[in-house]
Formats: sequence, structure tokens, C-alpha cells
Amino acid sequence: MDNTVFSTKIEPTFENVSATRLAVEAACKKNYPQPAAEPLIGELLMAATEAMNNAVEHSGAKEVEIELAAGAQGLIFRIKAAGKRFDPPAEIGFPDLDGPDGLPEGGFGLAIIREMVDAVDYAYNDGKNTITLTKYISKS
Amino acid sequence: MEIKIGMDGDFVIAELSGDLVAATAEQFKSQLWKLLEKNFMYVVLELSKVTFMDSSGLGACMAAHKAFNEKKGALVCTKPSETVAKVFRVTRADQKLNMAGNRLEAVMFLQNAVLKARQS
Repeated sequence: MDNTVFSTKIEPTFENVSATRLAVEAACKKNYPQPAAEPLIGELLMAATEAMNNAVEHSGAKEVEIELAAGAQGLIFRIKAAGKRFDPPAEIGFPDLDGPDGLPEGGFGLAIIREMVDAVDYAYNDGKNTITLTKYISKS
Repeated sequence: MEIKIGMDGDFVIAELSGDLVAATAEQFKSQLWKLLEKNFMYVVLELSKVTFMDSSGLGACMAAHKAFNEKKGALVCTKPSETVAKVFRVTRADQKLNMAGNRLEAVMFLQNAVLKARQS
């Protein structure tokens, strides 16, 4: 069974994303206090931040729901926002840094999400996009 | 986020602290653009006190790097924390941005950049 260890509803602003990231970090560290977990928690936070930023930029929702659960395998971060259905591209890669237009200034978010966690799940139910990020962390 | 601006000889040392993220990226860019407007073309960006960086922060670093290059100046980043270095690494941005291990290396890099600019 997964236990919810943190949940909140926020108005989607970048300032709220930063505040929520800090709250999620505190909840992660409370459940996985061992120093070995710290870099893994850091990676989950990077993915979670990109997912929250995307909700702020693209969902148009008035409210975003955030939930963190601690399960047997590790941490599960879930974000829900009302809006048009979002289907991720079939292939997600980092932007080309050597393209004709020079260095890209954006387009890194989805690839960072994919890179930093063990599983990413996109679902659409009741008019809401739900993104679930799973990060395996051992208890010992 | 805060940016402390100082000088080391002819070069600007911009020391960032706090989060370089979507909420602060514009502030970061406007401060660096102000330096360019005042013709401070050679800048060391000290990142050791940056606590967290997201893709918007990374994009702002890319934009700043390009802006300094276009003005024939140079921007060099030093000492990112492991969390921040990871973002540069996985996106391969560390191969495109100017990165230095410490202040001395950064200053030497800028001295070379000045020499090259004078020769060209």
C-alpha cells in the first residue's frame, strides 16, 4: 500500500511551484532520511518541478493538485490539472544543441522528467491530466 | 534569488544565490542584460550558491551565453553544486556553455577571450 505523505492544492504560479517543491522535499526527506537517498530525492524534485512548471505554463487550470506517496518501492509524485488532454510525444529526447538555430533555450522539460525518474505515467480522466512520477528508493 | 555583482580586475563576478528557476529566470536575464548594456562584456557567473535549477534556469543560462557571444564578450560559469551540475550534464549543456572549475580558471578563460577578441 502506498501512503500519502503530502498533498496540497495550489494556484498555478511559478512562485507556488518553488514553495511546493520545498514542501515536497521536506516530506521526501522525512520518509527517507538516510544520506544515500538525497541525490535520488533531488532527481525526483527536478522531474516534479518540470511537471509543475508545465501545468503552470500549459494547463490553463485554476487549481493544480499535488500528491506525494511513499510506497514499498520508493516515492510517487502525482500532479493533476484540469485542461485539454495532453499526450506526450512518442519519443522524448533532449533538444539538439548543434542545430542550425544555435543553442536552444527551451524544450528540455519532458526529457528531464523522463531522465530523472524510473517511471512516468500520463493519464487523462474526468477532464484532468494526471502525471505520475515514480522514483525507486530503497528503505535501507 | 540574489545576484551579487563585484569586480576582479577587469572582469565582472556575478555571484548567484538561491533558486535559478522559472520564477526567477527573467530577473536573472534582466540583470545580465544590464551588464551587457553597460558594456561589461566579460563575466564570471559563480553558481556554487545556487540551490536549485530547472529547465527555465538552464534556458536562461543558454540565452545569456548566446547574448554575450553575440556581443563578442564571454560568460563563464563556475562551481555549480552537484544538483545544478546534474542538469548541465544530462542536457549536455556543460559541453556548450563555458564552464570553469574555479575563479582562477574562469579569469584565465576570460583573459584568453579578451586576447582572442583583440587579435581578430
